[in-house]
Amino acid sequence: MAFILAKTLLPSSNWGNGREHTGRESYPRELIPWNSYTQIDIHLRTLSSGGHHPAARRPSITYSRGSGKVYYTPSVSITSSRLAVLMVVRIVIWDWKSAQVLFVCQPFGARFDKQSSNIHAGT
Amino acid sequence: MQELENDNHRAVEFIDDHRLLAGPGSQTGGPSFVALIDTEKTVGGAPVQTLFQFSQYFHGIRHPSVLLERGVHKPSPAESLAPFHQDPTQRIIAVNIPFSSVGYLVFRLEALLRIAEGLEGCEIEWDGWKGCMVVPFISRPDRTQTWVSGSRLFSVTSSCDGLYFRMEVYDFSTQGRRKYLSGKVDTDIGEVKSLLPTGVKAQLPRVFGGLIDTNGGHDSAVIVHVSGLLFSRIMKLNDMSCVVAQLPDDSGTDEGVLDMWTF
Repeated sequence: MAFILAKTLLPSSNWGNGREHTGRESYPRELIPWNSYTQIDIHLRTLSSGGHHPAARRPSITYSRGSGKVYYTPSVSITSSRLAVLMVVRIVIWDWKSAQVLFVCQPFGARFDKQSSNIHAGT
Repeated sequence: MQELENDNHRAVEFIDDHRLLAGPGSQTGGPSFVALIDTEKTVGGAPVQTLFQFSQYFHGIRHPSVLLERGVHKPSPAESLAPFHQDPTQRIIAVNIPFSSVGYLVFRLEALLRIAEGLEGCEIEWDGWKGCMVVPFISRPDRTQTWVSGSRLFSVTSSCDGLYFRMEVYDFSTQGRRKYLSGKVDTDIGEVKSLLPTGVKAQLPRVFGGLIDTNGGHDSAVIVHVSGLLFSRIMKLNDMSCVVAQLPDDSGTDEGVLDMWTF
C-alpha cells in the first residue's frame, strides 16, 4: 500500500533554519496548516516501512504553482494507480507509478489560465 | 457563492480507483457545485466531469466544505487492517454549510452515482439531485466536529454547560434510514429529509484547551486535546493504533492528550 508524504515549499526567504517564523510561534514547515505555498513535493512511500514505494518509478512528484502567493493548502488523494492534487482551482492527476501526468483539469473558475505551473517527477 | 479566493475548504478525493469528487466550488458567476470526474472516460483528451449544482442558497455562503472518508481503493490482502470500507456504495458524503439552518447536508455516494448514470458530462441542477439529500438532526452544527466513516456520520459537540463532549452517530445505511428518518424539515434550501441520531452516545470528559481534532476509522475515533499552543497531526492506521505527530512545546510544557474510543 502506498501513502503520500506531502511537503510544501515556501518562498526561499522563509527557509532559514528549517523552522517557519510568523512572528507568533515557531514550528516546522510541515505542520503549518496554511501558508503561501508555491510548490508541493509528494513523496511516494510504502505504509509498511515508510521507504520509497517500489512500484513508483520516481520517488517523488513535484507540482509547482510558479511565482506568486497562494493562500491555500493543497488537497491530495491517492488510489491504487492514480494521484490527484487540487490546488485552488486546478486538479492534476498522475499515474503515480509511472509519474506520468494523465490529466490537468480545472472545473472551478478560470483564474489559473494566466499563471504558470510546473509539474515534474523527482529523481 | 463568490469565487473562492484564498479558500481553504475545497477538497479532492477519489471515490474509487478511477473516479474522484472535487469541490465545492463554482465557475465565475455560476452556482456552486461538486464535480464528479471520471478519469477512465475522456472527451477530447479531458476526463468527463459531471457537475452537481447546489441550491441557489449556496451563492451567499462562504466556505462550505465537503467531508469524505479517505482511502477508497480496493484493498489488497496485505492491508486488511487499513480502515477502508469494502463496499464503496455504502459511503456517504457530507457537505458542511456553516452559519445556516441546515448545518450539514449528507448524500449517499450510491445515489449520486445512480443519478449520474446516463448524464455523464452534464450539469445536474439542484432539483435533479436534492431528493437524495438528508439533513442529520444536529442540534448545534456550528459547534460540532464531524467525520464520516462508511455510511455513518459521527459528531462531537460540547455540552451546553461546557463540562463534557458528547459524541453521537448518524446511520445513513438503508437500515439506518429506515429506522431514523424523521420526515421532512423546512430549511433555508427548502424541504429536506432529516435523520435522527441512533441514540448511541458517548460522553467524553472535557479538558482545558478544548477539542483540537477528531478523526475516525471503521469503528473507532481518535480525539485529541492539546492544552499548549501546538499544532497536531494524526495519522490513523487501523482500528487499534494510530500515530500522532506532535511538535514539542519549546517551553517543555507539552500537555497533549490523546484519547481513543472503539465502538
